[in-house]
Amino acid sequence: MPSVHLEASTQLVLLEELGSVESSAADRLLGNLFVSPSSARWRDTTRWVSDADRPRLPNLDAVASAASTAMERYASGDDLAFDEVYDALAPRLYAFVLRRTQGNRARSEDLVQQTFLQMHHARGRFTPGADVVPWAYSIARRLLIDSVRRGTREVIVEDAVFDREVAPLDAADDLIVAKEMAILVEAELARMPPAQREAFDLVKSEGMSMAEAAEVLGTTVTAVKLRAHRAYEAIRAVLGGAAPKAPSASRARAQAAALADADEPGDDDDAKAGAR
Amino acid sequence: MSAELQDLRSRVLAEVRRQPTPARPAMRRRLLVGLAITLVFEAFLLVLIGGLHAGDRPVWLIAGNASVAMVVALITTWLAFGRGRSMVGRPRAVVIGVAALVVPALLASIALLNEGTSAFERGLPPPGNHAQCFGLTALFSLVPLALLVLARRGSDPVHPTATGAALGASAGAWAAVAMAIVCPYSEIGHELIGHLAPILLIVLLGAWTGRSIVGLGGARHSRPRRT
Repeated sequence: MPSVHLEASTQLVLLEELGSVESSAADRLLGNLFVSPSSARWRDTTRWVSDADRPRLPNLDAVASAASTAMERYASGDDLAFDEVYDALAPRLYAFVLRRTQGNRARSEDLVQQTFLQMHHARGRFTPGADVVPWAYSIARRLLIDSVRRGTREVIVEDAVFDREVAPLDAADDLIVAKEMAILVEAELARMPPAQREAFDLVKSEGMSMAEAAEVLGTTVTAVKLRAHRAYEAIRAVLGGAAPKAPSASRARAQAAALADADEPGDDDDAKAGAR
Repeated sequence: MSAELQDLRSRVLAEVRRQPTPARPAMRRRLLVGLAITLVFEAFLLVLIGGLHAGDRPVWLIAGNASVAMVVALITTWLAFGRGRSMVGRPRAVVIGVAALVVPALLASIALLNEGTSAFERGLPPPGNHAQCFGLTALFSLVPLALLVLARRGSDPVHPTATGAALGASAGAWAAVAMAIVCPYSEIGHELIGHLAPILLIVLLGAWTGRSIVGLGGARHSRPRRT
């Protein structure tokens, strides 16, 4: 049964973004977990989600700068510079691929390995001054799409992910509310067009600029802005609308699975495959 | 860095050392050699079929047709082959636009330049000339297409089919330069059948080769091994 999980980074983004929803139903849904976006508890909680639970990843700008400089040296003939390219990019790239393979470590390692080999083989064609990060992500995304098309996709239902991410919360009620909110968002992400989901993910979860996300997706900055905005609005709407009577976890999970199974007309195959 | 990333690091770097690849200076030399081979082949072909066939076309018309086709070829090559300052390449809309617009652009330029001239009004050439020009245009396109596609082999992770089609359009535009020199007929029907239809064919061929060669699968290297 296909399913998806909401990664910690997306939860963080949503928790942060919800701060801008004024007296909405989404605020009521959050209840006493997040009393006020500016409260100490809010900040503490977001800090917990971001610092304690998320893998420690280097800042994207630092990664981009280090990787681009090293790749330029590698393209110019410095054979040892590729080690630095790997060191700068691998942690973020691995995390990116790992989420898309639903936590399949072996497959993620293979895909990351192939990504770096593709970069190695493009050594002589590296454009001076080009940004390595969008390029690396676009290669990883393409390899992932190809592997999905080859039918190597392995579906893993990871209920444990939620438990791991939310477990340290004090109150059981808070845990349930957070789970239900995550499931709602998960369902909405699964339901939205893959192109929107990818744009949202690259911009919000990966922290890319609109221009970088546009490069990865092979489209224009305007298109990425539009897709990310629509995705964001959809998530905000579903959280706000569902807040007064949030469904039970099991019902929402079933709904998420059903929605993930549903066809998504109007989107190209690449986007569908890449979003899985 | 985690232990698994360290392990992966050693595997990746071992593969990199096992399959050395040329750096930028060597690739530039290869590209120049490829360009030289292409130019020699095109010149040889041009000489082989008798060089300039002016017919009753004035020199300014021949020069005008060839120059406009060359401008179209330069622009399409810059857009299709060049990647700007990005390694990913130009947006999908740009490369699709190049592939879709090169034939209308050439047709419009031919119609505007040749209208009212004797070459335009002399009527259709014998049917055999359509086939001859069709074959020549295809022949003039093939080597530039091979050069462009091989130079971009395994380099497009986003939209290789569209990029391949744009490279095909670019190669076709270069063939149009040669055809402006060797074909004395400018009648629209002949241009469509003999000169522009094969460019559409080359665009399709470019799309096909783009998918298989310009895409990531086109890079010639062995599959990575897990140790």
